[in-house]
Amino acid sequence: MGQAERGRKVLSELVRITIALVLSALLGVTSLYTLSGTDGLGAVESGVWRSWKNPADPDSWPYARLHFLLQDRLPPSRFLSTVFIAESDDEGRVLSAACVYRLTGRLPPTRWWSLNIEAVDDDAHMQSAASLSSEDAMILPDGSVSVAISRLFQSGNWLPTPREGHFRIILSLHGISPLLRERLNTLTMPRIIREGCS
Amino acid sequence: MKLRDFAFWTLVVLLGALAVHAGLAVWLPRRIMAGLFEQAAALGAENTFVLLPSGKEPEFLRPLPQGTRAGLCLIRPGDQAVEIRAPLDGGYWSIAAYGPDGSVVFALDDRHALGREMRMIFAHAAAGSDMTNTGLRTATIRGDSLFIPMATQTVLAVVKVHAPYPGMEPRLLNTLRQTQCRRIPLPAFLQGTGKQKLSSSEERMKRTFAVPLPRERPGQ
Repeated sequence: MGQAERGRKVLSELVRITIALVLSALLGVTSLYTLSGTDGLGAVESGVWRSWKNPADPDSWPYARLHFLLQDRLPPSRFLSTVFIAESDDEGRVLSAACVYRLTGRLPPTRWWSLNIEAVDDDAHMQSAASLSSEDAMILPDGSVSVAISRLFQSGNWLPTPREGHFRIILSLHGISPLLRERLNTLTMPRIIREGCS
Repeated sequence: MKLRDFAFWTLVVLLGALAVHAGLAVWLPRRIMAGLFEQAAALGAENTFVLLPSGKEPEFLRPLPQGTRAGLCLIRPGDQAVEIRAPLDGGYWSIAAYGPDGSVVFALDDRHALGREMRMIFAHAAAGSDMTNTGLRTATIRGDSLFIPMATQTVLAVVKVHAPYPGMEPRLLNTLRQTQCRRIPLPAFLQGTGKQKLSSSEERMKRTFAVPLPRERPGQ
């Protein structure tokens, strides 16, 4: 074997190793971000709402924990609260600040709950007081709530949206019973109905 | 490329991807948490309770509902212990301690508090000689305190208090201001030579009421 041919062979091996390393890194990073950046393993879906049973447990899968940490958020302790996130309405359309929504229905029994609106885009300007809790909310006689979610003020329960862009609704159930927590996917969650868009 | 070569390199890529994936899954949470610990330290929360101004809480605590105030203490006991004393005066009160991997090593709320004041002592697990049977997720009641052994050097305690109605906020804020987080010498029960040292497992059972973390209590 000539020296030139040996050199070509070594170069060919180096190229293969480099390609293998790059592909490995890409595949490893992509799979991790896919599993944790979207729903993450262990996510529970209940209609348009998704939640995690034990995102902060030391022995749980790391993906749910990463899902929160990648957004620079501390994952909620399942002992203290269970968080539900909705990013679309009941018909699967992404929640947009250009539209008016109504969140309606009964909330799962819990010690207290809070609803927050959060902009998906970091640069979207949030209006102040984009939260509502069980103590502030007007509860209907049948135990259900009806909350208007819109940019402009509405009477009754109202949650302001960002001025533009997309947003998500975060429902935190504080002090939910462990029995319910184990059956998150069977909970009847409030509906998110789009009433119109400007 | 021969089929055998292709299969070989595919396997190499998959194994490499698995290694990258697993490595990142372990490293990334620690890296992010290290950043959050730095943020907490920059707020002056190292072994000190810092009540965060309303609306100016760091991003990692959000979303906070209206009427909820939060405080932080970055617990770094070293070879000593860190004590958190939190008076309770109504409202919804909770504490969660986060380890360097982002998992919650301890959590408690006002429903499970032992009285009108919560006293918690955090110490590194190697600090006491009679702690071999207490795991990271086990808190034990010692006297008037809840002792939480730490398997790591640092945890971040997040205290949140929610006022059920607006009129209650000033009172809760006043109570929250009285919350303390400070380094203290190792209590006697953590010192191997202390009078309270337990000599046998039977005696240990008599003198130590071991409770699992409230989040693990059955029947809630």
